[in-house]
Amino acid sequence: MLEQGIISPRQAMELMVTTIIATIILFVPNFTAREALQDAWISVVIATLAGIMLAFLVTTLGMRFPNQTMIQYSQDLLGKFLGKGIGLLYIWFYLHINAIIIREFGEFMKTAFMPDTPLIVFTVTIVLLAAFAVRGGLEVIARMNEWLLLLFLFTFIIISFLALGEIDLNNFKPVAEHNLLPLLRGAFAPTSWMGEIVAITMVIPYINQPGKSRRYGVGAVILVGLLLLLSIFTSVGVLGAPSTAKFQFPLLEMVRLINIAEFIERIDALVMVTWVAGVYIKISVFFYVAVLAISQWTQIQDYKPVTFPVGVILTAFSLLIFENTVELADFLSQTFPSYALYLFEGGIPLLLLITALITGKRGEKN
Amino acid sequence: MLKHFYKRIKRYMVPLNKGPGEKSYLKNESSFLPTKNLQERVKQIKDTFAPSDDLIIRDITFGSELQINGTLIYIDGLVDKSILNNSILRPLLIESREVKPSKGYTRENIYRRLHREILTTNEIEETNQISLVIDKILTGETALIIEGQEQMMIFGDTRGWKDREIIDPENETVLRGPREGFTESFRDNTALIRRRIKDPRLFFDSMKIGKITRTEVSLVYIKGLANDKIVKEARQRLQRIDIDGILESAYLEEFIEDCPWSLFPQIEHTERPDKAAAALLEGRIIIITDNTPITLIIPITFFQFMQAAEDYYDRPFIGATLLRWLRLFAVNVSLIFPAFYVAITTFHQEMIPGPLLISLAATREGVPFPLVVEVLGLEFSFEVLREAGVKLPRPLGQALSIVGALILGDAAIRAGLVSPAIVIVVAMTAITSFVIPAFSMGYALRLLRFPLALLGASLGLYGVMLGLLGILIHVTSLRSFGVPYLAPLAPRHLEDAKDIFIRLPHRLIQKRPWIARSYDLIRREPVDMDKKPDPGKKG
Repeated sequence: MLEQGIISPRQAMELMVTTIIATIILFVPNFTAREALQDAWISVVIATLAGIMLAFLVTTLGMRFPNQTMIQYSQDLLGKFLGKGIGLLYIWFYLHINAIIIREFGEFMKTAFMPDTPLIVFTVTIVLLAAFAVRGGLEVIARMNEWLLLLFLFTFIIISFLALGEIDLNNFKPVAEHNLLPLLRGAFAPTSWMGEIVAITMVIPYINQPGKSRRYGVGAVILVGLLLLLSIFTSVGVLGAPSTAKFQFPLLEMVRLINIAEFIERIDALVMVTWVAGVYIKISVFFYVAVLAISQWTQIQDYKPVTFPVGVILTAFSLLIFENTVELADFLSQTFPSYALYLFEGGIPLLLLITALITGKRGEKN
Repeated sequence: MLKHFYKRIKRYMVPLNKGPGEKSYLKNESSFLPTKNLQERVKQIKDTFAPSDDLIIRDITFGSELQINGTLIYIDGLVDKSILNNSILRPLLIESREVKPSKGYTRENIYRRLHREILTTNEIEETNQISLVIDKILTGETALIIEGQEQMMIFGDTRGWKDREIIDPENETVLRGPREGFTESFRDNTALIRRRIKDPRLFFDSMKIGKITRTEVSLVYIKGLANDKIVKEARQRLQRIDIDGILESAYLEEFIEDCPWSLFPQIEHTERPDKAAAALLEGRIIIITDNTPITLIIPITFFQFMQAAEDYYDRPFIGATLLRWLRLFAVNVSLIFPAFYVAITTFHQEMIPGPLLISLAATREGVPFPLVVEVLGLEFSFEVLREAGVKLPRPLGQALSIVGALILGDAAIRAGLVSPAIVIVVAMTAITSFVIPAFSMGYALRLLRFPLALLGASLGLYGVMLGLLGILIHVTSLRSFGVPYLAPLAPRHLEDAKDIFIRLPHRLIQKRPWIARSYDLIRREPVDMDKKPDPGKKG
């Protein structure tokens, strides 16, 4: 096997939680509030339900083939030619999504904190660091995440606590003013983010109890849903729906309002630091998954030599993919959800699962 | 050019095809053939030792009517003369004269007779291998060679040389706890452990390492508690060592650790027998090396370096737990405080409250250097001062700290070369770095402070975080004999965390730590836990 390490289902769950939560709480409140305004929280509930279904779908598929990744069993299910084609599509997806994340990260750092620093500095440093983690293997990423997720959640919950006093419940009124359509449109973006759980199909063979992956996969989505709900609740509650829809990073604006005893103020830089940790894990996970997919697709014995070339591709890709921040935000809110959701997060896994159910194929159990 | 270096490096990396412990002085075995001739035997040994003046060769003749020639060989200074005189020479030369040959003494059974009826020493060994005899002589034992016999006698009792006394371990002092430390004597050290653990399962697995020094190294563990796989792995790694000499356990440490290039120590060392015994009781393994008081403990994790022996002798919650948090805090401060300060004052001034920012800016008025130069320069000069303080003899060290810290520091501020705020930052990091109980860990963190400060100066808090993440990647991928370095935090194991962030009372610690991979996890049965002293009985 390519990967020697073994992780526990709990580690896999935590990995997925960080992977999804790292960018969802920063970007999605704005997207959702734009569509659903003060009812954004209802959209999140809808999105979480949809996300649970997606998690159910991909883990069911993965547990049918507990010793293989999606790249491998898609060939068993659809034949060599079609299977390889699907593998190639996923390699593209993982590279593409990672390039977008890296760009998001760079743009965020640039616009919010260090406007004079060129984008490439952030891109290169984070990709280089992620490459080292990927070379360390799945175990190293999972262990780092156990630590960083705690830090991330701790910071996030502390901020939310500090913001609780500022919440004005009138901001949520009137409840369900519009009909269902805007709510569903608002749920679109968060669902596509939660669909990133599809990356677990690459990790399942390295979980020591693959049978538990469905429970923990769904658990990851639920946890993300709750945290996103908290994030939306505080940002809409504190800033109000119109401002949440206006600010690109509502959570950040909220943090900037925090002031304790006239001494601890403007702690957004500290929050940024923990956020960097979360995004770093996210980038490493997709990086790892892409590298693993490429080496399984080309059937090479060791994935480590692939790491740095893929890193170079990711860096260049992320720099060239968009012209500017507006284009990025536009793509994320308009194109990305349907692109990711219909094809990679829902469509292909569903297709594979149906094929597996019809042909009755399943992987060996050990 | 690079190729040249590569070749040179490669020469060090490729192990030589020689078994460890090969004795170069025995190269031509033919000259060491077994012989019954006394003169020839003595010559063999004499030649091996070259003309060395501490090799004593004493010819004797003993027995009453059966006059037997023999030779005693030992090394002056390594033997206890009184034992040699009273228990070997005296019985041989005086008491053996009164033995009648009619009692069945013949030249053939002379050894059995000497053994059983004449000599009054305990450890006696017989062999016809000259290499073994030479080894034993070198460790302070005495050899007796007898004319007409192929077998030679070795007296183990005569070992005895000047030892240091067992004193307070200077580098690991405690307020409460035993005052004994390991010494340079191998036997004393094993006895110090045996005295604490009176259990027949305590096992000393000794071997000789070092082709020239032939240093005694012992793997100590409790059978049934220690994990056999780790014991086996440790023994293999020790046996694989190919080196001419071991002068300190650090030599071993470098050879057997999992990642020799890492900054972080992966093996803990101690000079406290109580700490070693505690490690054994948790199912760990310790390695005792002859001629050094420093023993090694394996396997370990990062957080063990934050623990001191005293933690287990203090009051659990108030004393030990508080101290542990204090240490963890101090570690963080000593690692990131300079970087944090540089990053915030250079990039994120908005985080500093207004009044503080103004006073900070006021202190920097007139200082000619950029902030990072100031911090790095002062950190560097502090490290130099510290090193000078360690190397100087103690009386001079006082003078150094006065000149270095008081005069130099004060003058630098008065001259406007550095700002007082920076002095506070550097002094804080210096003090906090001394709180870490294990100085090998302290070195690693002190070194990492410099790159972190540079990153903080160039990329702000983002740079500091990058540096910390880089360290984290390395530390999470480290292992100590198969045990993840950051356990029990990553991978998380809550059962063990109770002895990391808090120190539970002993009555609540029912299991051995999972990280030691002990075979027998149960430390005590929980049954008698709630038994309180009967309040009815009043003394």
